[in-house]
Amino acid sequence: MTITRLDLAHSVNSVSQYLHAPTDDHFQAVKRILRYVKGTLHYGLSFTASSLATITAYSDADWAGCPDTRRSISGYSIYLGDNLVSWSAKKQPTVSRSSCESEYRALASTAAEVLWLDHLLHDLHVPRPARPLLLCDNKSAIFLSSNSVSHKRSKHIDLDYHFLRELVVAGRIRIQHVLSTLQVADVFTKSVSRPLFTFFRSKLRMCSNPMLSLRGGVGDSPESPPDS
Amino acid sequence: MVTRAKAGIFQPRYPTYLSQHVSGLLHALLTTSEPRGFKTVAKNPAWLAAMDEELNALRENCTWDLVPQPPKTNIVGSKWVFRMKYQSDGSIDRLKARLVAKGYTQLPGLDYTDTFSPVVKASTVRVVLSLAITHGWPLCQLDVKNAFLHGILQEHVCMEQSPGYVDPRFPQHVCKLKKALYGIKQALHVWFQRFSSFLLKLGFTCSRADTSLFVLHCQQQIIYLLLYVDDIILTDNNNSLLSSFIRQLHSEFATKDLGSLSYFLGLEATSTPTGLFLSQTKYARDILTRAQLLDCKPISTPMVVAQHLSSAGSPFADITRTVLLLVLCNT
Repeated sequence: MTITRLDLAHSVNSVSQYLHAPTDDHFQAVKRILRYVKGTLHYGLSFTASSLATITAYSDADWAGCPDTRRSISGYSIYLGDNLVSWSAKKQPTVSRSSCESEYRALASTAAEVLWLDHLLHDLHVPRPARPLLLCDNKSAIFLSSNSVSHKRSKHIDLDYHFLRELVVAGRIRIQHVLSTLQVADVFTKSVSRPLFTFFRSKLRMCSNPMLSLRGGVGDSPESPPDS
Repeated sequence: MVTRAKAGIFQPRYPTYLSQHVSGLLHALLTTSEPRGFKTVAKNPAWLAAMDEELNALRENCTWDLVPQPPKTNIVGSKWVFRMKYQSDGSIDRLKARLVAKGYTQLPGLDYTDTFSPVVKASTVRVVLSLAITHGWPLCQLDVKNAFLHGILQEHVCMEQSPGYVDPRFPQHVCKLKKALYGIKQALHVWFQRFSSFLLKLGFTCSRADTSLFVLHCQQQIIYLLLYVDDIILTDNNNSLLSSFIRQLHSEFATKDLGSLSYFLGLEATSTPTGLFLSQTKYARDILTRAQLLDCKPISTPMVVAQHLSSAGSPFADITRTVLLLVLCNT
């Protein structure tokens, strides 16, 4: 289901972690997802002609987002030109000691996917005009990736640390800061309020089927009244 | 005495809530059942004809040689699988019989080694679609008929003769498979090998980032090919090159041209004035139908704000229903 429905990525990811021992809360959560699906049956991913084949990636993390294990949840969304081509919502494999660390790990996994996309474009003989750009809303994670300072709180971040830093030093990728309010990967890490959710969803190229709306609407309306 | 079963009178097996607006096709699917095993259809001429047709196709394809049973070999079992194909109004379109090998009786290391076959990543599909839309290239879709039967087996696999069609002259002989058959464990692997070697011969290169993506690049012309088992998506910047390639492909494997991209891997692709729109409306509706939530009240977000699910809490009483829902949502 999540091949086109990126708006479900986070919620489906979080409920499917409890498949082995579902409780009442999980049942309610699943029902809510299905009710949301019912309201957005005709939603999908739209592709438009975009001028340049540049890669822009948004990376975000929700520090200690899982109450059971205290691991963080990382998410990313990667655009090729204007089109969204890749996204992920995933619980990190280890516990992070700071939000900076969790953002840093998220950046590293995003960078891995960006590199893969870069290889793919190379195989497709697509000229790449600019370096891939990674956007992150945590400044200290960005500083960690560009400066070779070894802070005492970041000593233990080892493998990801060198991987990402080498990429930045070699000029393979650029990392920039983005305001949290424009961080579209937010929807992959936590459940956000309705206005934010709709805003991010539209930024993530999700919309109702345009061919249906041209014909004057369908039976089940895509926009439903807000939940009271 | 004529029982109800003899007279063809049965209780409906489908839930009553479906009966009001059930389509002819659904009714046919729910009320008829397909035969299992050779004995059940041995006296039915329609099914026998279907089996003859399948065997003829296999013979034409030179799938096996009939040989005396070699000593100390593992003999793989075989069986018939029967399927009814319906038309959209519920009437029977045709009867289909397939001879399959019992792959579970194959021994690893002896009858098969590698079974892995790559499938295309969803991101790769989206990247290729995005590039095709950007350049305004046409997207077309092909389907390879009987893809598995094209694979050439490297291992010596012996299969028992098909039930009901044992050669009366050599009843003790076995079928030494030359080509893959449905059910053989490495069928997908050898099919992929065969297809990729054909493409490489034509000058395609296999992408290192995704092995199911093939690219032909000569001078200014370029073709992208995505393979998902037996479904193919093609796009290129030069129509004449593409049509000649499709002809070559068709002469090597029997393919079915499905025209421009519309339904691929469960994705519905609609072309819009500005580009392309991908959705899974049918699939979403199927999920809601299976969960019996088709008439539920819609809601605008999929999760309560700032909700963190945890494993704490009382286990849900009706566990089967929850698991069903979770599985539905996860698929």
